[in-house]
Amino acid sequence: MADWSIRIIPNPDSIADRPALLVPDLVDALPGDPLEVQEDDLVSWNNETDQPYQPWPTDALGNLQPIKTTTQPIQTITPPPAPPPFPLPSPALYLSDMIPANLSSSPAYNVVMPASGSIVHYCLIDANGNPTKVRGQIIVSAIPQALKVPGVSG
Amino acid sequence: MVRYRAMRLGVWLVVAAPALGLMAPQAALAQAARGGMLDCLPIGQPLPKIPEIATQRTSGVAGAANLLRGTILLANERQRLVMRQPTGGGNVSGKPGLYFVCQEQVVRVFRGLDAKPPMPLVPQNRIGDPIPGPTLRARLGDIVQLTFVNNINPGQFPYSIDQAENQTQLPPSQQTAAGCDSSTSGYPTAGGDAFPDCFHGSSTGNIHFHGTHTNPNGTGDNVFLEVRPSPIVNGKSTVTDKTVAKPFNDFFKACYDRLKGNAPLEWPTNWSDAPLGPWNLPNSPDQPNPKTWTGQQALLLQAYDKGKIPSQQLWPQNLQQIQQNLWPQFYIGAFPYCYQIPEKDPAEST
Repeated sequence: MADWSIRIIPNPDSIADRPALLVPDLVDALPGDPLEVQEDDLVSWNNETDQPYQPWPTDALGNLQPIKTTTQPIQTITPPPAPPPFPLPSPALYLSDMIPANLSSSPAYNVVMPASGSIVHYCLIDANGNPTKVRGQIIVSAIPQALKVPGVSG
Repeated sequence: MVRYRAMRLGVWLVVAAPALGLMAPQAALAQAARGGMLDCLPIGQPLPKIPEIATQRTSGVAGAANLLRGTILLANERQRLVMRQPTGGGNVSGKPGLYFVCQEQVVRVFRGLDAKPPMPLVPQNRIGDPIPGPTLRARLGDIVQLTFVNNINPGQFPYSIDQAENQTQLPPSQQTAAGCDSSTSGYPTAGGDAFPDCFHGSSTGNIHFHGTHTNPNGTGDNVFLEVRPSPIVNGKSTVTDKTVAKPFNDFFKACYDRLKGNAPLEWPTNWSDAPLGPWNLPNSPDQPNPKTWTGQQALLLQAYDKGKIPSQQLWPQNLQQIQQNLWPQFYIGAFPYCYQIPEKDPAEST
């Protein structure tokens, strides 16, 4: 199981609805690159900006996805407003609580394969729960099978 | 809790050498690849020499002790780590059909800044291979003087704290999780862990030495210390080995004079002892003295506490211990260890 981090850095171009950039914390990564992971890896976000953000799952077009709570009363939540932290274990699709400025995220996202396809699409929502156009992708591969090896007779 | 974390780091430093000595030399820096996947090194690499910080023999002046002096840095490094596939429960080492891949991972490492052979920290734009922290080599009767610097960047890991937070304000079902690291899959509760015996505060460090039979308090072999990472401003740590060199050198000189030939001595005993203290101003005893190292620590801790809920604040706990004339527990960025390893008691059988 590997651990990965995605940097949230200020956008030097200061575009209003795209105030930050997402960069996988890898030596050769560029802003906007997807992060390639395997099921059951851990992912965290390192918010290097001076504003709080929360990664929230979207569809491929950037529309926020509803998340259904797992504790009573069952609710289906779609920001805005920004929701309070969910109790653990988190619902499927939930990526992280709101990340304060200059801190890293919690809880760590334990990667699960999406219900359809293999890409987790998400965007950052701001402190009020409003979506930004800061969008990212996590490409998930399944845990591989063990190699078939001939038995040893003896 | 304190002992758990401190022991974890201490044991790493002490026993990691034989365990990881079989890994590849750090000098062979890995080539970066997309998605964090890397080529593994071919098997059969030569064993690297584990870097050492060893005692230097002082002059033959009567009463002079030999000195083990050095600087140990705790920091982040990108490394090529070997990962077993497939992952998952039951896929233990040696099981037929398993194989290995190599991936770029950010890890916390110990580096001996003046170790031989050299073991510099690999810059963040490069990927190194694992190598243990330095071996410390000393003899009975030697004086140990180590500068410990914590330059971890906690942002590269999931958020982690030192203490239970809001523990009494949570419903009973969640109280054991307060203060622990957490994951969306339900850790720590799903894993059966509960505070303080859970993963947490993992960017806090200390060095603990086993079997020294020396002063277990103050700047000795003090297992209770918790040294938080240095603040980071514009991407750089503000507390480094260079910024503490003057106060630590002054302290090491005073410590040498106090300890030589008097190994069991517990000194310094509180934050008022010079030259590290006094921590407060003579005319304003509630105010930190910005000219002493303990006073600077008080200021750093007060800055760390700003905006945090009371149960996460560190300075009030230090202050309480100071008022009880105890050596406080929390530090930021660096710490000086100074103690003498006792000579063998001649009356003791071999």
